[in-house]
Amino acid sequence: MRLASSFLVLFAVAVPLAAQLRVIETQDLRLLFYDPRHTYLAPQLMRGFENAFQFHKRMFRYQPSGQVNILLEDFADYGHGGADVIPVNHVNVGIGAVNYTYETVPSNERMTWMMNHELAHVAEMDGSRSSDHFFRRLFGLGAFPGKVAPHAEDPISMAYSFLTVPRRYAPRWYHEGLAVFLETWMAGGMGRSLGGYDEMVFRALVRDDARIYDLVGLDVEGTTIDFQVGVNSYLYGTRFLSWLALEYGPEKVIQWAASGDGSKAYYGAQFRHVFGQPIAREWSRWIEAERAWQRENLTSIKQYPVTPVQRISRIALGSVSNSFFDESTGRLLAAVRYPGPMAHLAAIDPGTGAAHRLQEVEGAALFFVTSLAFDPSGRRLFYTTHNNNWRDLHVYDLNTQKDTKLIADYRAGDIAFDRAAGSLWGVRHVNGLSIIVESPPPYNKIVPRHELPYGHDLFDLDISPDGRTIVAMFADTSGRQKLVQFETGRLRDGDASMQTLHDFEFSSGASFRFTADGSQLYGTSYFTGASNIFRFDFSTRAMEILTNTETGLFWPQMLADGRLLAYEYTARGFCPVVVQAAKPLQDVSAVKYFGQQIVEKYPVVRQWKLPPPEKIDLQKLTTRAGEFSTFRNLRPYALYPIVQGYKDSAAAGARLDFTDGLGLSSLSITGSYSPDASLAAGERFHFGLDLHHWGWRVQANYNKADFYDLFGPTKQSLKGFEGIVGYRKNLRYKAPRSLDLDWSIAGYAGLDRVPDYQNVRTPFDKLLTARLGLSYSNLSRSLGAVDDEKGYRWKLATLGNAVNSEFFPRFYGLFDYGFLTPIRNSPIWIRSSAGKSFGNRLQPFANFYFGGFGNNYVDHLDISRYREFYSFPGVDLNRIGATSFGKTLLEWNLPPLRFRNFGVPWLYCNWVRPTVFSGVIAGNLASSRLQVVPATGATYYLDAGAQLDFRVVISSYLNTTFSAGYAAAQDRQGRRSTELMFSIKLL
Amino acid sequence: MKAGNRKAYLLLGGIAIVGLASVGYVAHSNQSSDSASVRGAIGQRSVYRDSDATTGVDSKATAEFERLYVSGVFKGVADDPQFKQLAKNPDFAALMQNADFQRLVLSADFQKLVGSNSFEKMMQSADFEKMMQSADFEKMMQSADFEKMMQSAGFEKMMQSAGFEKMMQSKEFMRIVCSKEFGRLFNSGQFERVSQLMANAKFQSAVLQLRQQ
Repeated sequence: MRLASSFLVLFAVAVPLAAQLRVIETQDLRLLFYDPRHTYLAPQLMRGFENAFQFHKRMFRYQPSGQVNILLEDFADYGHGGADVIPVNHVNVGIGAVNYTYETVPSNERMTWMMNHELAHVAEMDGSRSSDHFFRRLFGLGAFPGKVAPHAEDPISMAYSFLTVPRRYAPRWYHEGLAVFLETWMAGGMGRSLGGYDEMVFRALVRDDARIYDLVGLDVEGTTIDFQVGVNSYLYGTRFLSWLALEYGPEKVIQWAASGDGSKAYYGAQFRHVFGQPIAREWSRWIEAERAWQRENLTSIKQYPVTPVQRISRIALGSVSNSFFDESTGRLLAAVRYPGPMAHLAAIDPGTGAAHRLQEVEGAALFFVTSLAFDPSGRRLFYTTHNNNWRDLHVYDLNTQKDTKLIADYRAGDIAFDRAAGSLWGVRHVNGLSIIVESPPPYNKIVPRHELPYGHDLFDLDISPDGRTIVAMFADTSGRQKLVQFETGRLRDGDASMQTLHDFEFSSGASFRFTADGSQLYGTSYFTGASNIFRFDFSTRAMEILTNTETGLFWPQMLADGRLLAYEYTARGFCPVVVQAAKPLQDVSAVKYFGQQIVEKYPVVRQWKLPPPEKIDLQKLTTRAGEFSTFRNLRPYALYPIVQGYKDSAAAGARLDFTDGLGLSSLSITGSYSPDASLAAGERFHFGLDLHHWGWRVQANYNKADFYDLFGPTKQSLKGFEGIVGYRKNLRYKAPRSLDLDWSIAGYAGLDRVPDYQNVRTPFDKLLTARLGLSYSNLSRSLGAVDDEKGYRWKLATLGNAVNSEFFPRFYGLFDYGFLTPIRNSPIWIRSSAGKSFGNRLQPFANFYFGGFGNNYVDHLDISRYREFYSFPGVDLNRIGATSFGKTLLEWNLPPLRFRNFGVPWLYCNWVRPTVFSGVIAGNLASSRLQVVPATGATYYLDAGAQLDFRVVISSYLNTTFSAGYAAAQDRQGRRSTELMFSIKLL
Repeated sequence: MKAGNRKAYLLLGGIAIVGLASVGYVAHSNQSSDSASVRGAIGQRSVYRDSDATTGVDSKATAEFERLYVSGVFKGVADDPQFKQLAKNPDFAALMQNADFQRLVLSADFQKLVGSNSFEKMMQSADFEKMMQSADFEKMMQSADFEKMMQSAGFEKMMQSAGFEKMMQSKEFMRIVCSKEFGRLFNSGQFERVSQLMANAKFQSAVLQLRQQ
């Protein structure tokens, strides 16, 4: 639902400032796009929008607060979407084809599907009732939308945000459950409420007697350490809402989410209002009903003999890719992603179950990890990285254990190796289209063979042993799927005629692969409701079912020795198995779907199917088109009171926020006044301006005040005038790798302290500072992590202070390196830094200063501030001054302890994480309180400490962290000091 | 009863008995299980699917989008306060209702002009005077077609109207007129019709009509 935080970064990288955004508008829609190659989709999306928006307005009694800003983008190879309603309604639409793996997202035409889903979010969150309408008018002065976005620097905005858009602060399972529930019926049953994967997940939980999460456990564990992470919000939300619909009627579910007078602001209160029960109680009832339902389904499956399987792995592997049997070693090769290690390519011994890690997969996909192909003669594994962005193609040589990147921005997946030609085939997703591509050796170029029409897609490719035929699953805009066949020779000659081998219609098929002699195909289908293994015989043209499974079998492959390998779905993920199935079955029970009961009991949901969008007259609806400047479209959206701290005084004032509707340009203006008589008259007024425009930022402050200065001990307030112009450019970005250039020029006047060093007085009141930094980071985390666990980052920076006609240049660099220990979610980090300043050390502007944890009692910055190069826990803030230094910190993050059920849905404890660290700083150090004393040569300080972080979540999204730390430091002479730190980090 | 007839009756009776028995068996079989999907056959999942989504989206052709975009640009211009003032002029409004003008607006050349990058850049230009001094504009001004247009009575009348004066001052109109694309269009045969249209007193009302739509 929410726009990913990396969205803006992606946008900044993908779309140069010079490239103009264009817009086309209707009364309710502002559709933005940056690439003319995407405009062919605009009419389809606009019709889908109108169709869905009118439906949601009707269903939710929804009065929009303004237009919905929609951005068409192609930042990832697979289709995706996100929606939010603060500060204004906005949706981003990733135009790529959807992913079909495991039938996790059954859908028809994707612009329509996306609009049905995302606009459900907009309607239910933006919808207001008299109370929030009152606050919107209050904070919008009746002229602006008045929906306050929470800003960490003014945390009081959190409360205003809750008052103006209370439904936004419902848990994610509620938002996603509702959107999935509606998307299903709006598309005539093509949705996850009637999806095979959803049904299988809960059937497996019951079969394996695993825990079905309660309300708090779902957020604490279900979406963090379970291999399905955030998808559990969709799965659980959909099931719970489906059960409510079945129990109380679908209209009641709508009533729960509806806005308008008479509805309650908070989702929990509205639940009680509509259903007469607290959510937790009904959630428990649903779990009981779910168990009963699945037991009945399992009994039905067992009416006929269940196909026996023999597990060949000691543990469930979480998510898995397709796999290959390496005849030369007798090992199964696959990519896996499960809690503990990073996602990786693995070689699994079917005899012992032992799994050997081959190579990490950077940017693993949630369900299929990576797209994998095997060259058996060359013993090479081809695979894709950055599977959630633009994919790269890599090859891993099993003989040499060497990994090589072959093609950057390959953007293709479903790869298959052609043993005859030695080439690699795949399906590329670019500009919303799917293209069959071939990469001949040495795999450094992409040759397009056939571009499919919009809405048509191919997946799960395989090449016959003789290299003459490609088989693949074909999907169209209705959601139907077929097993099809192409001739490779014809494709190379430009003839893309395909032959249908089997029409699965709405029963998804998947991963059909040739046998060694090329006479048969083995694959899977949800034909019976569970994903069973099917066999297609080329001589008889018959599709036969081979298994009767309780949960689901996937990625089958028939080995030359007659063994049938596959993956069985379990409550903990996929598990490799040997399937005891050789003959076609005659009797297999159908699995019933929970959602099917709704349509049978309440046929009204059939009427929720949207009319054909083709009839919508866009010419009539279009109101405006042209260029779109984010800067010129900056509009005020909220004005609200704030409190701030200035030195040791409190100030009261107001903040005015502006937005362009996309987040690419923003402006905030604050003004406040300190009534404290002890302050000089010239210091009582405070003014701040913060403008961001793409990579640019302009900041101006007069007697800068800061909310967190109310609490100390770190102070950000600054006397006098401060003006900053800066620019940040992502030179390279491919998550998680990022190379950034950052520069700024700042001017100060009327100073009494050195900026950034609150305890260092300045003898001059004017200062000009220039900064330039180049930084790179490649940090990653495994499932269940609460922080980065592995990787490295570095930064090189220079800073020059010009003061009183003197210039004080300095340079410093950082390098952090971390690795995972064998203990799950427990990394060790080594953080190093060094710097050199070239000025006279008796001048405060020529020094680096160190000391303290750096956390405020109430804070909004990083909780682990002891990692910063200027921190040195155990001594006072800014206590140590130096013109040259070297510093190293060794840090061990112990595994976080998660609380399964500690709290209530709107306020619960999430995790507690201890950390221990020890550091040393060396150089020409001196106490900054004794600045007149010249350096006495090299010296050092040592410190050691610990910090405990305790995460609490308020209203599902407002993360608050309590931190406590203790550290002791000692200098070369053996003088000791200690520091105790307490802090609450908001947002 | 003849033996032949008896045989026929027996055969018919037998067929009837077998037929009835078959019907009964089938009926009985269907009743004895929950559904045909769970006994004696591969049960297909029973899932509501009423998906008939189709799409006429042609990824190669963006004609519909271009039409919408041009229409949106004009509606946006018509929203301009100065333009609204101009649109009150009955002569201007009448001209805008002219069918030839509307055909022009929907012509491929004109759409290309409005949708071009140059046009977009031109839309950003703030200095009409500067544009007026450009070589392209100069060329256009000196062309025979332009002269012809300038000399027409209708054009003169329009030029004298206060509404036209305001329109000429509107940024959007100025940018259109001063673009290279407009210059090219002017020099093409298409513009001959434009000049006639601009001389037509109904030009203004056509703009108004667009606004009202």
